[in-house]
Amino acid sequence: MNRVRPLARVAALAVVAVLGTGCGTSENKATPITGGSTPTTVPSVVPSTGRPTRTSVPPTAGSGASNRPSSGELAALQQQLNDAGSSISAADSAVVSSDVNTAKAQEGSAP
Amino acid sequence: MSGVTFRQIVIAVALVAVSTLVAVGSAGALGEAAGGGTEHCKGLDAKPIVHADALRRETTLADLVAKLQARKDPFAMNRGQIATLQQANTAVAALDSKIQATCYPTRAALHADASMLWTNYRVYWLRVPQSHAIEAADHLEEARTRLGTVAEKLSGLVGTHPQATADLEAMNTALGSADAKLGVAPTPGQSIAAVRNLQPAVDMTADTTVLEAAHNDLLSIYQQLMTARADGLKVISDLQG
Repeated sequence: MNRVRPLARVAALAVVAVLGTGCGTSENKATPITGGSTPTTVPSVVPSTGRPTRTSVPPTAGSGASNRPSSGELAALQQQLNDAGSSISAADSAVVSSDVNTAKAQEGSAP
Repeated sequence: MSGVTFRQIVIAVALVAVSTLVAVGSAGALGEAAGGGTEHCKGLDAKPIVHADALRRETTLADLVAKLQARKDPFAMNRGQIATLQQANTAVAALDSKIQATCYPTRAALHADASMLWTNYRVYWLRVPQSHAIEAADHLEEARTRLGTVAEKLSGLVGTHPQATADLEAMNTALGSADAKLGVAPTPGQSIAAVRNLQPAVDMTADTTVLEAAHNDLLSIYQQLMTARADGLKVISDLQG
């Protein structure tokens, strides 16, 4: 028993070492790809599921350009300004007609 | 015939004379009631003029009512004004009917009634500018609301863009100046609110002063909103550049 045990222990260690080396190899290869220490590797994975939009990128400090509204957004606001302009134009004739000195000239006098 | 006495003849003649007078008197009364152009009714030539003036006022009042009815009434001034205009329209039509149907013993009597068409209603001196001032405030409030909505959205877009920020500030300043005179719905500005309570008067001096103040403020509000809109367009241009 005393002779067998050291041999068995050596054999067992050898098996573990072989198995451990094999399994460890595959894991160690994956580590640098998926678990890269630099954050720049993260976006390289994202495109496989969908391209990030420009607006989803956080603005860089001091860069106003990254907040620039879309052309559609500005076009909608311009349309609202045009609508406001129509209201102002509609007010124009009413404002002019509210001049009492012009209006009273139409009153005339009784015969 | 020989039995007819002188006294009987006198009585017969008197009866005929009285009958004639009664008949003539009745015809005259009928003429007055129908408004007929009997010779003793004065001012007949003025009646068509009065009628035309009454119709012109009725048309004007109806037009003012239609304009105010089409608006949104943000200051809660339109409804009362519409009722006032409709009452005036009814009263002008009734006065015209009375004048056309009446036989005036003197021209002065007709003039006194016809003058009511002018002094009691002041359609052009008061109701026209008053109604248009209310209508103008209504339109300008609508424009102000739209511009305010745009300014609010732009404030979230200008970021640190210096020119856009400056132009938006100018826009908000103009809107603030407009608010000072236009008021903020449902509360109208002071001069506009004062217009609402004006009534026709023989002496229109006070009414005229109030109407002039409101008109001047409306002109100023109009200019401020034009400026605010131009500034808003500049902000958009800044952001596009």
